[in-house]
Amino acid sequence: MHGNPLHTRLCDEYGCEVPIVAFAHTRDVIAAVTNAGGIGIFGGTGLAPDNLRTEIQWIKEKVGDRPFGVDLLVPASFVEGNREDLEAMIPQGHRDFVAKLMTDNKIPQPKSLRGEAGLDANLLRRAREQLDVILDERVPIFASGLGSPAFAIEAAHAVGTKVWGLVGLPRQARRQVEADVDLIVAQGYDSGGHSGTIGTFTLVPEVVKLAKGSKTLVLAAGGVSSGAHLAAALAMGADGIWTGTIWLATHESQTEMFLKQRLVEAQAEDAVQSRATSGKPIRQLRSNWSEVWKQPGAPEPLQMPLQGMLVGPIQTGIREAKMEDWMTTPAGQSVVGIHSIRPAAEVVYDLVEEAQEMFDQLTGEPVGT
Amino acid sequence: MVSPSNGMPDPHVARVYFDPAIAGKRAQADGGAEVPGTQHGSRDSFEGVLTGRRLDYGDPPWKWVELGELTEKPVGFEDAFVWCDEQYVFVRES
Repeated sequence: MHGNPLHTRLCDEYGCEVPIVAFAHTRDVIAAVTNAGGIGIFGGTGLAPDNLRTEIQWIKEKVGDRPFGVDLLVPASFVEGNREDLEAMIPQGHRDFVAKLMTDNKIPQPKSLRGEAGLDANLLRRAREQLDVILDERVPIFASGLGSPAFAIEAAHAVGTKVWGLVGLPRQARRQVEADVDLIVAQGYDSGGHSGTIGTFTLVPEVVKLAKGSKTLVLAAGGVSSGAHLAAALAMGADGIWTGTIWLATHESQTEMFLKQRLVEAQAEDAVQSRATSGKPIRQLRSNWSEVWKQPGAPEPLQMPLQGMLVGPIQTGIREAKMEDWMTTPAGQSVVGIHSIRPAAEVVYDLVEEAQEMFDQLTGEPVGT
Repeated sequence: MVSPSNGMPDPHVARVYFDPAIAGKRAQADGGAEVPGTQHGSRDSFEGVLTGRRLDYGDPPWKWVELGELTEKPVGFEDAFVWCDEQYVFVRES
């Protein structure tokens, strides 16, 4: 084998030292990974434009000229219409079940109510306003974690921002290649949050094949937590890896300490899919909350947005009272790769070292460094 | 949907119009959006018939098409129509 297999096109084109991309909602994780030679991608969904700008400016100050990005959940569909009658659609049996949960488990009434439910009528406006901030701040990378980012390419490239898109299906990848997206994240079923239906090992080579001959790079995502996964991703033709879950238990992550400890102890099967929070399946760490909805006699979770409307208050009560056994965090099956709570930079270095060892084993000799 | 209010050009202005070239075509769409109250998205699959209505949002335009007569939609989806990003709409017949 010639050269360093860990120095990929991603390193050449973005100036990172290793082909490791970290997605996190904590800015400190982004700065730590970027400064350790990877690329941090900050999850900006849900932030008001002014707050997003503040976070971006903080990261820029910490990482200087090193590459980082911001991810938004750009919508791929929306509906028009009146949602005022939704409350009436929640069955009384579901209301009774939740009320009993609160009584039986001494879950307090929430002190404050967040806007847990309802659809944002200005979905497009908000996404575009957030994007305006990203481009105005000349963030090196804009990543779309859901819908196609094609609409943003022209404006992004005009200010030097690269555009990335996350896909769960080959046909989505084909459209993104045709649109000249700079990089595609091929995310398999084992990922955290709302994953697709195709496994990482099936999806990544398909997307690599579709991108072949184009300028579009490919990252492998979903279940990626070790140097072995990094080596496998590169062997499948990917230019690097996109990781999320493994950063939750780092020192820099804002995840609650008891949840970090549960992440350390969790097995792959503890990353369960549950519709109990929003009505949509979200892969998350097993908790009393996910389990109680599977007990005999429990009703089926309602569809979005009804489930969010139903359980918003009780979930707020759980958070405010810090009822640890009832709280959870989104997590993918790669949770099995978390063995301790440690600095993010150390995670980066270990991924590289493990991958290097894998390549050494495969070739029977040390490969270029 | 959105219109200029201060006499200045509005980069977020939306234009809805009819495109007979796509009207009546059967299509699949990979939809989805942010799940309210969470930092996660949901992926939703739709299949139906393109109504011919288009929506161009902002400049350069973010292009949307409307799908109706839905034969595939998420369980519990009550609406008769859904707007889908044209990039993720796949026409099944010409």
